[in-house]
This record gives sequence, C-alpha cells and structure tokens, in this order.
Amino acid sequence: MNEPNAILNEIQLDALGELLNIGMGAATASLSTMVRREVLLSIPVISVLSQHQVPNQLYDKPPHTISGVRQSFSGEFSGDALLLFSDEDSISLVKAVLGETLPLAQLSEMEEEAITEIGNIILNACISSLANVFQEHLNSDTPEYLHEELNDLFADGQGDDSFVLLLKMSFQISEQDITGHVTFIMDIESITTVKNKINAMLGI
Amino acid sequence: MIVNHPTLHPDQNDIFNACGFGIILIDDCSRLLYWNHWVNKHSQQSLESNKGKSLDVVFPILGKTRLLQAISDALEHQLPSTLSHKLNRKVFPLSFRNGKDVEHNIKLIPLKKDNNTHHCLIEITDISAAVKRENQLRDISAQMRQEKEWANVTLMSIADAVITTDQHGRITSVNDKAEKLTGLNRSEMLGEISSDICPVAQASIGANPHPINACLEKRHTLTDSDNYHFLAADGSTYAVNLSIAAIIDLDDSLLGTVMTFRDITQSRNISDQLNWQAKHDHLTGLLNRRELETKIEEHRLDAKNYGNSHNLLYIDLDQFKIVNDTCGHGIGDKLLKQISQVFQDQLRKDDILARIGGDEFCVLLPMCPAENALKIANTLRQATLEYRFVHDNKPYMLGASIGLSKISGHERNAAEILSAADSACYSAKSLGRNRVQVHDSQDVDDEQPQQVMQWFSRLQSALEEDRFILYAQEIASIHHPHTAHYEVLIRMLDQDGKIIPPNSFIPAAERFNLMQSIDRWVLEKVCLYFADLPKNLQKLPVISINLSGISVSDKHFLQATRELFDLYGTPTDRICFEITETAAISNFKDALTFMTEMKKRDCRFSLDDFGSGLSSFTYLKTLPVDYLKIDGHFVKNITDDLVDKEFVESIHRIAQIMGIKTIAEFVENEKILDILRDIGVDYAQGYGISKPVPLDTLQFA
Repeated sequence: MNEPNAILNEIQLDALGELLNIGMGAATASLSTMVRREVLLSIPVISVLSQHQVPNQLYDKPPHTISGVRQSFSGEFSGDALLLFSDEDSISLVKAVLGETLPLAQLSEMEEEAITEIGNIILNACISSLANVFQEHLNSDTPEYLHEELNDLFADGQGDDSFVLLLKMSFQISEQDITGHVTFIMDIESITTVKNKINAMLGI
Repeated sequence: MIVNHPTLHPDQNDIFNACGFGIILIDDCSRLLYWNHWVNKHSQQSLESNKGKSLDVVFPILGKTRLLQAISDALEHQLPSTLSHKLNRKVFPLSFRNGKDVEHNIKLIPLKKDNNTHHCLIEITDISAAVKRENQLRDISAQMRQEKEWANVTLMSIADAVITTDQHGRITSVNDKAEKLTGLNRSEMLGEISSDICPVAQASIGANPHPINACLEKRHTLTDSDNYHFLAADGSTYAVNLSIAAIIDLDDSLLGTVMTFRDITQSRNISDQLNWQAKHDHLTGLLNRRELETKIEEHRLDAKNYGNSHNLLYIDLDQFKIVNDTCGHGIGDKLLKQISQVFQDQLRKDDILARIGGDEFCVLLPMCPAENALKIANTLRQATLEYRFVHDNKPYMLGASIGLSKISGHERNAAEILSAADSACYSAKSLGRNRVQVHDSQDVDDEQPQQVMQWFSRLQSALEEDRFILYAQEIASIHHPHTAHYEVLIRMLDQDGKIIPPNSFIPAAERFNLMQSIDRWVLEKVCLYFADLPKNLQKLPVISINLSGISVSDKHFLQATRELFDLYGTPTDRICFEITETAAISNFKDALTFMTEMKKRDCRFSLDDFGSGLSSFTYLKTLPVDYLKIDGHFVKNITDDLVDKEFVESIHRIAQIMGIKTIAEFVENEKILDILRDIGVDYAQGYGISKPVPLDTLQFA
C-alpha cells in the first residue's frame, strides 16, 4: 500500500467528503453564531497522502510556521484531527471573532484559548459526524492549541504507514479572507477501517 | 430519576478541595454531583444545598451561555469542549471576596460512567491574572505601536534613504526614499543581505569591503562620507553621501545597523562644474592662468627632481586688437575660439594649451627638449600666419609673437617661469612681432623676471627724483668736420650715485610702459639745454633724441612735444628724432603722423638701426627721413667682412639716391673710418670718434 490513492478510491473519497461536509455545516453554523457573521464553506477536497506531502498540498507557498488546534480521537479508528491556519489568518480570525481593534503581533494566551475553542467547535463537529455516520463511538481528548513549524507537524515521525486523510476544506468569514484547513491524520490501519465502513455504508 | 450520589474518599475530597481551580461534576442529566471547595468559595454557595439540582437551576445565568450546548455535547456525544474567556465572558457567576469577578476558562470532559451513561467534569480555571496581564500588555503594545508609527512616519518622510538591518546585515526596514534610490521594491529588499542589495563602492578605490560589513564586524561607524558611489539595480551609478551606524543594546550587544544615504550626484556635478570652471577659461575651454600655473609648478618640480626637460611658450596674438576693436567683442571671441583650435591642432597629445589673458596663450610642452620646443613654437607661429580669420567676407591676417622659456627646475616658482616666457614674448613683439624669442637668462637685456619687477620701482623713484642724466656722443661729419651733431644718451643714477647704462633699465621701462615718461624727460632736458645755451652762440649743435615706438605713436606725446618746444622756445631745426626702423614700421601710420607734424617744425628724423629689421626701402620712401643710421653690427666688421661692407655700401648708395644722409655707428677705429670715408658715408659715430660725455660738459667754440 505504497500508493496512497490506492487506499481509497474516488467514490469512497467523495462519499467521505460528503459526510464530513455535513458535520462542517453544523460547525460553521455555530461559528457563524459566535462571530455574528456569515461563514462560507468551500467544497471539500479529500485525498490520502503521505505526511510530508501535506504542506504542499495545503498551500501554494507553505508558510514556515502554522497555528491551529489539535484534537486526538480514538475508538474503532483513531487519529488526530487538526484545524490549521496560517499565522496571519489566525490573527485575522481572532480579530474577526473578538473584534479586537489592536491585535498583538502574536496571539496572546487568551486569544490562543479562543482559537482553541473555535477549533474545538469545528473539530467536534467533524469528529461527531464521523461517529454518527459510522455509528461508532469515538472518544476525544480535550483540544490543544498548536503553534509549530509546518514541516515538523507533518514530519514522517509516526512511521512509514502514517498517512494523512486530508480534508482540505476552507471556510471564509464574510469580508475576511480567512482560510482554515481541516485534516485528519490516521495510520493505515484506521484508514482501512474507515474504508471498510464506507464500503459497508455504501453497500459495496 | 434517582440521583446517584457519589461518595469520595476523604483523602480524595481533601485533594480536590486543595485544588486551585474549580471542579464540578454533573451526571448524565446535568445534575450536580459534586463541586470542590474552590467553587464553594467563589460562588458563595454550598455544595450541600445544591447537590442533585440541575446545574442551570443552581446557576440560572447558564441558560444564556454556550455551556449548556457543551454539556449536551459531552453527555450525548462524549465530545470535550473548551469555553474560552474571550468568547464566553462570565459563564459562572464567580467572584472574589473583594467582589471582583473571577475571570475564567472552562473545560468540559466527558467521563464514562458505564456503557451507556456519561458524566461530565467541568474544570474552571481562574485566569484573572492572565486577563490583567493581557490588558497591560495590550496597553504597552498600543503605546509601542504608536511610538513605532511615529518613528516610521518620521523615517518615511525623511529626505534621506534609510535602511535598517539586523545584526546579520539582513534588511529589516526600508523607507520610501530608499526604494526610490535603490530602484527596488520594499518587498524585494526586506530580509535580504544589505551589502548585496545596496552595493556601494568607494569612489577612489573601487571594489572594497562594503562599509556595512565593517560596521557589523567591528562596529565601525561611517559618518557623512562623500566618498561612495551607489551602484543601483538598473546599472546606473551615482554619488552618495553615506552614513552607517551600529545600533548597540544596553548590554553592548549589536542589534543591527542603520544606513542612511542621499544622492549627491547633482551637488557633486555642480561642484565638479565649479571645479572645472575654476580651472578653465570659459570661452575657449582651455586651462586658465591659475590652472596653468599649477601645471607649470608640477613640471618645475619634475624638472628639479628628475631632470626632465619641459618648456613653456607664451603666445601673444598680433593684430587681434584690430579685429576685436573693429568687428566687436563677439567676433573677437569667435576668433579666439578658432585660433585655440588652430593651436590645438599643431600640438602633441600631452601638450597643455592655456588661455591666460585676452589674446595671450601659453603652451606647456612636457618632456620636450628646447630644440623641439622651438620647432613647435615656429609651427604655431607659421600656423597663425597662414590662418585667415574671415568676417564680413573680409579676411584678417594674424601673427603670433612667441616667447619660449625652458623650465629648468631652478626657478623659485611657476610665476617666475611664466614671466620669463612673458618677457621673451615681449622681446619677440618689440623685435617686430611674428617671431619666436627664446628667453635667455644670461642675456643682460632680458634680465631675470624678479629683477625686472624690481626695476619697476627703481625706475619709478628715479623718475620722481629726477635721477637721470644725459650723455652726448658726437656724430661726426666725415666730410665736413665743422658741423656739430650729437646723440643724447640717457643714463640712470642709482640711489647710491652709481651710473646705470640704458640696456639695464630700458627693457624694464618698455615693459612697464614708462618709456613715454623717459622720452618726455629726455626731450625736456634737451629743450632746457638749448634754452640754457648762450644766446650769442653762432652755430647751434644738432641734438639727436631717441624716441620709442610707443611715444611716436601716441597723440598725447605729440601734443606734449609741441608744448615743450613752445615753452622753451626750442630751436626745433636743431632737433633730430631717432626712431628705430622697427618702431617706425610697426606703428607706421602714427609714426608718419608724428614725423609729418614735426617736419612742419623743421625737426629732423633719423631712422635708427637700419639693416637689423625689415630694411624696407618701400617704407623709407614714404617716411620723411633725413638720416639713415646703419646698424652698428655691419659697421663693426666692415674691415674684415666683405658682405657687411657691401651691405653698408648699398644702403649708402640707395640713401644717397633718395637724398638721405647716412650715419655709421660703432665706428671704433681709424680703419673703419677710412673705409666709411671711401664708401662715402656721411657721418660716423662710435668710440673711435669720441666717447659719450655728459651733455652739460659739451663745449662749443
């Protein structure tokens, strides 16, 4: 299984994208309430790739460091759910959500906490929609704030079979050019489980 | 529904109560199971009186918050939640004893109770200190931002380009002017190494380490230096005034540098232009006198130190004045420009041509032996002669009188060399123009320039103090010994009474325009002499007076002469004026006027030094001359040199035909006199006849 695209075929990916989109829809609704602005969702693009390919897949010009929220989940399949923003966008997001007129050059710990909450809402929605669709029970850790080098985050540290189910979905807060990406990092075993689940659901 | 009352071990209870954060535990129906002492303390409510109550009953305010949603996510979907202070102000009504609110973050963690039921742990963290800290930070940050903005606006509005770098030389800020001067965008420059982006070269040296490196490595500061050129991205180069300073922290560590520069090309151009103007003659573009003197001085030192041979030419344009006066200054200027080109065309690459006055030019001939210099001088003279300046379809002919002086290195300064060449040029002019005269420091007639300068004041004071005396030398009639004819010769008396011969001071007098004064002095003395002679004298002697070309051509002198004659009642028929052939011819028209006027008063005229100049009989025909004075150089050798004898004979013959009497000078002995007598020359003068004696000692029978 060295060829990532062989893991999930086109149909399976589309189906997964559709499912996650439903969850994201709920998440953006609550985000929209929080920021009291319209939040637009892009059409999700789903792919499976090895970890080191992620930065270039996410960004035309990958930023050096990245901000975001990580929430680990476990159950029949397990992994990390990540919500990622470029540093600039994380600041813009705080600005949009909190209406801070004088943002600091970097996020304060309070603001990091706010980002964590936003990430928590979105990632909870994704994780719960996965759990719902597959009628699975997934345990989830409390969300943690991330500020790391993009390359470190997707280093092949977790072993050869660590692939990423990349859900590249961006949301935009109206009149603000803020893009966030949701990604799931799962090992081959978990992805295979997900694949079987999709097959079962689709009646294949 | 039965409320499940959990029982905690007393130790566990102590531990939870000791926690510095709030812990609330609720069951699957959101009913309060437990909270620790921290919640007791800050909610001012007891656990005992609320246990079993739904949490939104205990704290009705929760209905307005996201907490209930989060509780349901935890209980129903087992999803943990974070409620940040920023997004959820005042979820729980908690306060400190002083009444201030407890600012808090909330975490909800689902706890699995059994297969189907979950409890929820609510963790409340006091972040009041962090909130306070952040507010302070925000204030400081706002203040800093404001200051930075001030600094930035100042930086941007500064007329100089300002670029700052970090301690590695990477560009951290660029103002508008720096963008303009470098021709690069700010985005292209930020983060780049400044020595790559802003290459400068020291004007005098060229490639050398970028001064910013010296600043980074050794903290060398460069202040206000005009020595650099900026090499812009588009390939252009311009002069800059550059300053670079290191920014040092309080603990003496290098933070970075500030580089400021401005384009001084324009001001440097202006100063270059001024510099050029200071060294050049604006009309012809040639070097001016000052710069020439600098060059001469350089070559004088070179000659002195290395023995190299350099020469200087001093050129005076003959006839320029005519063009300038008759055609106007504009045309004169045009002529000067053209003649500069004529000169330039004849010169070698390294020769230095300068215009040092109206129609005066100089050529410095470096590494040029005297012989070559003379050749070049003659080429210039010839080129001038052949050149025709045409104005209004009229051609004007020019001539050049050129003085040549060698730069030996023994001179004291450039001025000395220049005046030596000048005096040689003057000699060339007085010898009839259109010629080259070599300055000879051995020549008594052409004394050292500084001595000539001294002569000026000596002459002035001699004139003021009347310290001249007249000598008289007989001009003896060879065939009619009874006639008395004398030439008066001037001598100067020095302050110590020493008698100075005319060849010592006449050149200086000519130089300084004192000849008229001297001529006038002589004339008056002669008039006085006649006035003092006894009235009963039967036969008055004829007195010959030398007149300079300047005096002959001056109307005022003519007028002064008339007045003197009238004043003293001078027997003008006994006056003979001696004018050199050269003076008469070079001021022909004026000389003719003077002679004609004086002829009306029966004065006589003698043409002096005939044979040394043009010896033009054509002129002789038109001038009312009574005597022709054959140049002594021919007479001197008449006994040995047949050519000289023949020359004297032919002059005499022609003079005879023209009805002009001849006088031979330098008659030093009887033998010469015999030959002259044979030829038929009318008069003889010289040491062989009689030596000059003071005029007032002359005795008449």
